[in-house]
Amino acid sequence: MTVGEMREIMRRRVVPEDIVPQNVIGLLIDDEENAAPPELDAFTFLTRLRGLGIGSADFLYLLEGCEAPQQVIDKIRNNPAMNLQGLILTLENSELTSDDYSRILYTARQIWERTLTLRLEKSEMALNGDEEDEDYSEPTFEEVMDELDNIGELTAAEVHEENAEEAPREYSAETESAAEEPAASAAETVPTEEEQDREYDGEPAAEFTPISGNTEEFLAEGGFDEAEETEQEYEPDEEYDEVTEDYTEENPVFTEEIEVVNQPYNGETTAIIQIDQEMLKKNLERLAEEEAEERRAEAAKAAAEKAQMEARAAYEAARAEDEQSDDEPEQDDERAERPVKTAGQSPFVVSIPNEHPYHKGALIAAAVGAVVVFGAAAGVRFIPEVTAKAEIKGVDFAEDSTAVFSEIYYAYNDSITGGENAREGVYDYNKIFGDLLVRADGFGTFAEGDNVYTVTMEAVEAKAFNSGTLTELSDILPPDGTQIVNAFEDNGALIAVFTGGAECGFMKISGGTALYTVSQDGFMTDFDRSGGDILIGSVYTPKFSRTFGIADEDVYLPKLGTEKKTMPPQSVILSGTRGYSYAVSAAYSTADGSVKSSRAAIGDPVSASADGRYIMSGTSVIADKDGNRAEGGLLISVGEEINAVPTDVIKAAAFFGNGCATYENGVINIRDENGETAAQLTNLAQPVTSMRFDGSLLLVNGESGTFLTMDCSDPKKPKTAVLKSVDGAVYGDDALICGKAANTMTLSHYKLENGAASLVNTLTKPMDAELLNTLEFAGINTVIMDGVRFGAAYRYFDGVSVMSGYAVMSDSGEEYPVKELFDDRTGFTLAFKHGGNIYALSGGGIVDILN
Amino acid sequence: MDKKEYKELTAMAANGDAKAFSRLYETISREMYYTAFYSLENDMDAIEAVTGTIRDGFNSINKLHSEAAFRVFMMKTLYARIKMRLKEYGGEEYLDDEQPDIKRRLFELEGVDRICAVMYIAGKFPIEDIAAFSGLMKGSVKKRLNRSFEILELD
Repeated sequence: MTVGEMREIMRRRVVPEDIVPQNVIGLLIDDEENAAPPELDAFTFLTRLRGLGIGSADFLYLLEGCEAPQQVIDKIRNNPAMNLQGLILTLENSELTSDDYSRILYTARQIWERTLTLRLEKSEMALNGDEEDEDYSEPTFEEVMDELDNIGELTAAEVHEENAEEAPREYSAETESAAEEPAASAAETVPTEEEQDREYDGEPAAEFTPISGNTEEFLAEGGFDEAEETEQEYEPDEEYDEVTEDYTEENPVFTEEIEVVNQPYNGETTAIIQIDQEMLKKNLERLAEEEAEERRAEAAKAAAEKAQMEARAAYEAARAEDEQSDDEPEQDDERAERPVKTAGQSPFVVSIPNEHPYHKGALIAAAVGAVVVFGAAAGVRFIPEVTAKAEIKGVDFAEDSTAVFSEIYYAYNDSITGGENAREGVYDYNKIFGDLLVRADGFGTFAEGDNVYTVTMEAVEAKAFNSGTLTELSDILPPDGTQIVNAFEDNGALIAVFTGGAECGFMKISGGTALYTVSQDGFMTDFDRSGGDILIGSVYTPKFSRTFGIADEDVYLPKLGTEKKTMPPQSVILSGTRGYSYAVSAAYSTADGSVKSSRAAIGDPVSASADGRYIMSGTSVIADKDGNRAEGGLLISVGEEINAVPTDVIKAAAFFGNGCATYENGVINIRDENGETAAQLTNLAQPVTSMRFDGSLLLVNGESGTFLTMDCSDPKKPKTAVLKSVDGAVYGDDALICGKAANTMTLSHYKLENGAASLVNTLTKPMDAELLNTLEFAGINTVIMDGVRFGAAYRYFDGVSVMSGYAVMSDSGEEYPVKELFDDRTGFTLAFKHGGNIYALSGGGIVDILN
Repeated sequence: MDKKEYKELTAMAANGDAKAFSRLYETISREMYYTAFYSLENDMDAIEAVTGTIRDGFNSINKLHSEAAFRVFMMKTLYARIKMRLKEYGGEEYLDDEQPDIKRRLFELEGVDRICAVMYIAGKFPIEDIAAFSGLMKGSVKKRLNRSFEILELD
């Protein structure tokens, strides 16, 4: 079967009635009816007005007619260059209420309907020869208003009723019926009917569009904004041209009408707008711009100073708060450190705040000394004495492959696989930087000579920058079944670390291609860098697909390295726990990917550290103090010795520094270098599925993701880590954070100092609160941080256009001019360094940011 | 649909005009349904995913400034909803007797591979679009499609 044949079969499927477009209308209307009707605000009011094609002159007329405050009318009249934002602010600061807006809208709709009717009547008259061709003109605003006078006074109750009926939808059934009559009479004479039916199925807006296009779109583009936009509205409309062509021969009168529309006709509405344009162009534009520029400059300066002060103040306050909160557990610590001799006394208990999703619902009980008995208060657990003492044994390496094979043989015969409690880590793009959780949407962009790489979990996309254009080279994919979980620069090359169910490792990428790929059996449980080496810990359960004997080492021993060679059996520790899974750790040179050291432990692993420590679980050979074999056990190999600690069954584990954390029987034990419990986290909000350390920060994952973060820099006194979630990027010890302060957008450069994020400089850009609401950071791929310059892209909607900006500052805080794009198709999507310059990719191509 | 028409419909939809929104939705309705139907176990799940996406789209229409943005938003949301539902299946997918044979073949594919394949085959979306909808790299989409075509034995 071909793809085309399959496509044909698949597309034969009939779309269910529930979701055909016509029936979706009912679905959405039902939703709306169930929702409370929204109160009209200035923005909605203006949006609806522009939907009715109300021009600037009409707008002022309406305001006057509806007795709007004179100062508002004057302000609008005297500021023809006022943009949409200004208009909204003016209205919001006036005394006009939602009811006033409703009343104006009602009147506007009456005007709109009458304009339509009169236009069609006049058109008919013209066609019937009742009127001289040259005398034909669009109904003037006054004509429409005269007509409306006959409608009579509108009571408030009617307005409310009407508005309630049509508020959610601009063109209600009533509107349609009002337009039906003239539309029907025009059916014979207005040749656009067929086209209109196809497009809008008789909706009056469609009928009205060609005639009122200039006025309507003038407002649609921001109302009383810029003359340039208004000018565009007079460009011949494609659809309209078709109509003109179709009917020129048949009806010269109609042709003339069209021409009038294309070159603004005699209707008063249009004429007034034209005057406005002329004024904008000739007299006021320059003046208004100059004034606005001055105001902007002043506001920018003031806002920048204010934001800088606020950012610093906020930062200092946050630091002070942290220090204070750090102090609080200290008091508890002191209490815990008091000798506790009898049960019933309060232990060291810290409630973990619930407001942040990253640290809720746990209590900490810290073990002080080896045998401390805590009181049985709610949420507190006794720390079992048996945990306290580790048994030190010699490491038992396999002499040859026979020893490994026999372990596997017996475990396999007894169906004890091992490794069931080992879990793959949870990876995302977010990074922890001091007390900041820096959210990102990728691993970032890396530049190397003419090559530019963007890294996501799926692949490294290599591009080449030549002659001002960026061309795609290739996608460098990690091995099948794996995903990239980290990427960083190493001596000019890019290292991409990957892991998956069956293997993990890293690729070194340079010159647009992968120089080598190091692979290690099993999924990654730990990763570290030391000097020029990369260290990886993994847990590996062989999947036997054929019968094998002792000689088939490649089948039952772990493999690793650039050529994935079998580990020598002499580097396998016989842990004594039952199972044929391996905890593997190895160190590789980043220069060529060669294996510098490796070893593994066979049995029932839970986790392997990058530096050769293992946590084994399951049925253990480890005996407790009475000589009984425990169901679980912790086995930590250090050098030539093993610390063996009986435990409950370990369901999850992670390593940090010299210690580790284990999750057993609903409790997390923070253990020291000997495996002894230093502190316990109890009363966890949800079962733990996996854990990992970022430095000494423990991240605990459950079904809902990371739900607890603990600072374990002192294993005996773990404390909650309150992370502030921000958007930005982290490269090494530098972070660039995109944020918002009062009426200001900020780009802040932080440096990591003693494990804390320290603010270096902040770039600020004044921005109204409403614009700030639409502000978005353009993503990690647009971030440049080279130690000298720090830049990022952002975008926001200014009410009329989508603005894309790129801001850069130097390490001393000096700001470069911001590069801005208006309504660019994609905005800035990527930025990179090349030849000392910064270039960014936009929908319109490459932009030189600094020049 | 030209830019002007899209803009008008968007403005109307943003004002709560469901009819205008349905016109926008019409441009992509079949592709959405096929994607959902052939990726999920049954019609009910597919309809739920599509209607949820429609509601999301209607609520977000004022932020979508072009037809392309509208299509990407709708398909991206649908993709996320399908993936969420697949997760709820918990790796155990069940097709009742009423499901067409062609769907049984598609269910030989792993979840994300299947969504990509359905978007490509039934939705007629180019690889670039599928990458945009799914957040996958183009290379990864290609790889998944090749793998799927092999399993489906397509020429």
